[in-house]
Amino acid sequence: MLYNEESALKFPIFLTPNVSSNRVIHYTARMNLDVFSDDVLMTKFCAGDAQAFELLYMRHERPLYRYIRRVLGTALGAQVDEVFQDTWMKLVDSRASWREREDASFKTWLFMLAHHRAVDVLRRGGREVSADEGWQDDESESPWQLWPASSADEPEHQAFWRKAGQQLLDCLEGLPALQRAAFLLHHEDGLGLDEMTRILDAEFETVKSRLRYALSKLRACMGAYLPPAME
Amino acid sequence: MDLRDSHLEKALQHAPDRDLQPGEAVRGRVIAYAADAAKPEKTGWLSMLIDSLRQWHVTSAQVAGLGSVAVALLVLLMVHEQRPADSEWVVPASSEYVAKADAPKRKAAEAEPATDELAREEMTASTEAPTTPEVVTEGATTHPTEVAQAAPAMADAPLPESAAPLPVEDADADTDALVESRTKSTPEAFTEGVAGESEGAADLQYGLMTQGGKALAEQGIRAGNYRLLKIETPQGGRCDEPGAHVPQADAETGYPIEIVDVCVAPVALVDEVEIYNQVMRAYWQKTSQ
Repeated sequence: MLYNEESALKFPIFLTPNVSSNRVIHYTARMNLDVFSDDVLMTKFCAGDAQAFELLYMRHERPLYRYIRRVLGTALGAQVDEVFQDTWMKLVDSRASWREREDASFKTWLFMLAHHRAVDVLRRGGREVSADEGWQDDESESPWQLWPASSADEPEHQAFWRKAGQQLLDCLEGLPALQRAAFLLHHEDGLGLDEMTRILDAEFETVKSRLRYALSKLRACMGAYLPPAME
Repeated sequence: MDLRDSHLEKALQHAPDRDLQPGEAVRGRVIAYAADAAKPEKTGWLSMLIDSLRQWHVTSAQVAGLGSVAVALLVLLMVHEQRPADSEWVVPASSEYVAKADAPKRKAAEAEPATDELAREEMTASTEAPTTPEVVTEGATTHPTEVAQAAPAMADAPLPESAAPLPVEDADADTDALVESRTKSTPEAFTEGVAGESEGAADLQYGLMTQGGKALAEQGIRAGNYRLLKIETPQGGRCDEPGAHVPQADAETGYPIEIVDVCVAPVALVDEVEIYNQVMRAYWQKTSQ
């Protein structure tokens, strides 16, 4: 959703005090860029605003790093920094071709660059990238029946969820990279199927089948995990 | 099948790598890279010129065409400013030297327009190496005997092998006179101390071709250099040998005749010499009446 530029003009300007050697306080006016959307910030960076880029970076640093780490897996963990850095530099280098689009956001573009770079590393490392096998629609809900409700946030279940999370990461390692990427983009980063088609450079139905396959495999893998108290 | 699983989503939210982030070094490199890219590019004057031309929708081909035209204009300007090629009138180098060697005699001859007999007398009393009379000075008068006294010293000077004068400080004491004469006998030396209208044969020809015979003659009249010109080409077509000329004077006016040595006489030069002589004769007629 594109940000309303007019309302964004009512952003507050905050002053950063700096005390000089002679105890005179100077104020540096800084623009609050947090009110701007990703697309607006990227446009500002293209116009020469380095501060806008810094804010963009801080917004997407951890989610992107996490995504790259999970897609590459444990075996290629040493190359996560390289892929992460290359992704941002590639974005900076190709900023001239950036323009706001209704159908593709900045986040889509960023993750697309990261995904392409990660796939290059996976192929170079001889890892299985794609295995668009047929999936079996598992309608069984038995594993989840024994799990705590996903909407519940009771403190006593935090430990369960943390262990479940570790188990899920282990299960993800067993997935082909493209299915893994499809699952992570949809569940972790909240991207829709249309955006995923651009990031994964695949047809809509192909993205859906990869996602179904990933879910089927992960449920089967996670189904073996049951909280100790419920065994 | 629902493509979003809430249980898996929650498990992912609690995964132990939730707080994973890159190191400070990676973060610093990325931000620095972007900050450097955001700086405005330094453009030179050429880039700014090309950018402004692009704004006017000037294509690269048009820019190349403009550049070619500019280069052509520059070349034409340079060629126009150049002196005419020496091959148009080839002057034997030695004749120029010989002309300068007789500068004192010429100076005396120009000071007093001599009669035929007097001119012949002075010139036959000159050196063993006959030379071409030289036009010099601002019209200072010199007694003919001074010219005759100066002439032998100059005449004894042999032709230098090169134009560069010998450094006087390296000369042997016994050969000081010879070195001095050699130094003075170089073309450059003869132009020293000679002010005003002093010119060699090459300069004379250049003056005729650039200023014209009429203007040159008027210049000479104002400076008191009364003379007539005569074009001569070397015998046998040998342009590299020094021309040996017997000093002459015009029978009608008594003006000394200066020989203009050329290997090949272009028509334009002949015309200018004729014009020059006409102006001189006209002046003689005017002043002799």
